[in-house]
Amino acid sequence: MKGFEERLARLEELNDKISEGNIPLDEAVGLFEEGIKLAKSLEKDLSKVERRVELLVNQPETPQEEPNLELFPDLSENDQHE
Amino acid sequence: MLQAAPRKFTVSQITTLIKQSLEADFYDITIEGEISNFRPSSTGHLYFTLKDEQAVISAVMFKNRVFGLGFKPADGQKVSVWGNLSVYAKRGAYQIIVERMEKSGEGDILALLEERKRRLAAEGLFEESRKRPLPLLPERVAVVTSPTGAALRDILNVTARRNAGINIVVLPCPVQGEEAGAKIARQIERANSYSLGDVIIVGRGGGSLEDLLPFSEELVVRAIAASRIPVISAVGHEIDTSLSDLAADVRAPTPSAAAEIVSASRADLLARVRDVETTMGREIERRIERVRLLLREFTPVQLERNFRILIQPVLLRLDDAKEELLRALRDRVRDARHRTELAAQNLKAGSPLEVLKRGYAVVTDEESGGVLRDAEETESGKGIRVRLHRGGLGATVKEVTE
Repeated sequence: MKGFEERLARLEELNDKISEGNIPLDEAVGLFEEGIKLAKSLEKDLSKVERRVELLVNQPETPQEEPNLELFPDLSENDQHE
Repeated sequence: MLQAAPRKFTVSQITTLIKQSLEADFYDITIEGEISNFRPSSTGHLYFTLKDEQAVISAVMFKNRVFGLGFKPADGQKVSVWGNLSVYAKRGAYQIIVERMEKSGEGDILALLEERKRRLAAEGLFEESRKRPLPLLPERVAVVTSPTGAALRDILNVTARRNAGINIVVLPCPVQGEEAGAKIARQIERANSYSLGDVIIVGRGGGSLEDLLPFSEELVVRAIAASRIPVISAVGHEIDTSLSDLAADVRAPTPSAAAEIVSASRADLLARVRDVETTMGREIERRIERVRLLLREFTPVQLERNFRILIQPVLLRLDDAKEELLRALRDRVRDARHRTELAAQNLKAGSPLEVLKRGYAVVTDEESGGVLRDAEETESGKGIRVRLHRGGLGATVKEVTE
């Protein structure tokens, strides 16, 4: 799926096209259906609540090396005091 | 030889003299020393002692001056203070009234930073035009900071509270000390080369000027400026400025603020998407409604009505034309009749019978019956007929005259 910004831009473009009113109705309905799908996917992205916190545990130097990510204890969950 | 007058004073007199002398001579001075016996009072004034190896001097910094202090003084800190010496007569003590205080060497550091800032600015590293917009909805944020520091904790707290669902990759590095700068810079480069986020937060919690120095190191500033991924700097507190702040695409006053920035847009975006969705839906409904209205026009009853509406003017014109035609016809008939009557009258006037009535006569040859118009057409002795108005005559030509 395309990036959020691209999809949002497409959605706004669809809306403009539909609102212009000089395209045939069946085409407008087609655009509308595409728009609704886009809107739903954007809303889904926006309502995402789970998250993953990772820690980079190695120090890769070359393009061949892969960054090694490990789950990081989410500090926000345990109330830490310094 | 006159003996010097005995130098005899009351305590008040000598104290006044000392006060005048000291306060006049030691006005607007700078003293360097180490803070000890630091005692902030509950009213906000700071009492402490400045010392070096051999001596101590009392110092006080009043509340109204404390306000502008950029750091928290503590025992053991080496500082420079500016101020005036003051004698406190009631205790027979003198102290320095501190107007301004900075940590020793701070002036040098600031001068160094200023020079570096000018040099990097001249290269264009801080140009507004270099700043890239942050992604609308970052999915993953690379955080370059200490894995155990307050900054990371704040960032995780804020993003969790915001329910932003943003994934976070922590790129650990020391955030103070000799090594920190190079390591921070390297982690920024790693975040870029392995695409570990769509935005990078670089920062640390508050600290002393020295503590924040790595974030003003040239290596770090250059790494931020070269970053393909947009960078938010979040160094220290609101009042702290590092050169990282100048090179970053966005400067957040604190790490928490940086976290707010990456999670804030969510509600706005949701509203924006919903808004488009609604207007789009309304527009389509409107268009469908329009088509429905259009279709309604095509029922037989409506069609007939439309047809009638359409034909009405034609019918009217037809009626008018008919009227017009009849009238024109009537006029023509009347006209014709009139002309006929006139012609009949004229005809009557020109008739030979009318001429005969007036005394003229028509003469015809007896033989041929032709009308005679010339005397030469006949000769003496020939029979002619004369037609009068009433009746006729038979006659013989007696003579012909020229």
